[in-house]
Amino acid sequence: MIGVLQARKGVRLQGTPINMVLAGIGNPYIIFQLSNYAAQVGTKTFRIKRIQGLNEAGADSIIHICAGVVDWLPPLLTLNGMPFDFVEDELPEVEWAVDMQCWTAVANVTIQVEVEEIG
Amino acid sequence: MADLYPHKSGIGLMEPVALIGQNVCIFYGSVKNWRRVTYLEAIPPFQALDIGAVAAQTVSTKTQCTRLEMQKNEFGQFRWFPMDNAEFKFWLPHVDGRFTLKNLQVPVDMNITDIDPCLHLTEFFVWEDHSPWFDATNFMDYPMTQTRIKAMGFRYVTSALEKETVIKIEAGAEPCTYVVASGNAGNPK
Repeated sequence: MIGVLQARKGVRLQGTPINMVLAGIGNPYIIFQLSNYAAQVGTKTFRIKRIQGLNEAGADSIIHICAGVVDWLPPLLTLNGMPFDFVEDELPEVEWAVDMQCWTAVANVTIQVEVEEIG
Repeated sequence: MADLYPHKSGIGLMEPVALIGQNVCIFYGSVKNWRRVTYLEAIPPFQALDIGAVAAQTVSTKTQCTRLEMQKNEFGQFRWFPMDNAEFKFWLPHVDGRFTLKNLQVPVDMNITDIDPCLHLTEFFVWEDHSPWFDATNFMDYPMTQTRIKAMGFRYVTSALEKETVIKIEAGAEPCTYVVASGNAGNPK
C-alpha cells in the first residue's frame, strides 16, 4: 500500500501545538482534526508527515499516537528536557480517517504534527 | 484558427483562444455577441480575490470578484486556482452556478494544481463587466483567516462584426471561435 499512498498528493496541514498537561491513557489530546464538514465534496483522509515537540516532563516519557485508547503507531520515546522530531521516513505509513490523538506517560510534553490530507 | 479553442492544454500553461483579427462569438445568456479581436494581451497570475476569514466548517457568503471584470467591448479568458485550503464554487453570472452536474456544483480546491497543472478545466470567460462570483467552503475543523484565489489569462479588445460576416460564419463560410461567458441551466426536456 505504501506506493499507492505515496502516489496520491494531498494538502500539507498542521495541528496546533498541544501541551499535554495531563498524563495517562485516560487523557488523550486531539492533535489533528480530520476535515469532515458535511458540505465538503467527498471524504478526507490524512497521513503523518512530521511529529515535533518538546519533553518538559522532568523524566523520559513515552507518547502514544492513537485514536481513543487504540495506538495507531508504535509508542514513541521522548527524552527528558529534549526536543523530538520524527519525520515521515521514520514513521509507519498509516492512513487516518478519524481525528488523531496523543497521550503521554508523563505530563508536560508538547507536541505538534504536520500531515498531508487527501480527498 | 482551428488550432485555438477553449480549455486547450498545449505546451506551456495557457494559450489565447483567438488572435488579433480573428472572429469570436461570445455567448452570454441567450445572446450571441459576434466580435472581431482587435487587441490581445496577457494577464499574468495575480491575486484576483480574497474572500477573507471563514470559520471552521462554514461556507462563506457568495462574493463578487470585481477584479476580473472587463471594460466595455472586451472579454477575458481566465484560469485560476485556490491559494488556501478551501473548496471554491464559482458563479457567472450571480445566479448561474458553473461547473455543474445534475446533483453537484463541482468546487475547485488546492489539489487542482497537482491534478490539472495547466488549469485548463478551470477556464472561463468574462464578457464586459459581468463579473464572476465565488464562495469558499472551509471544510476544516480549523478557522481560516484568508481564502484567496489566483487567476491568469488574456484580455481581448473587440469590435462588432459586420452583418455580412456573421451570415458567412453561420453559413460555415468563415471561421469563428465560440466561447461561453455564462452558465447554462440546461434543457431537461
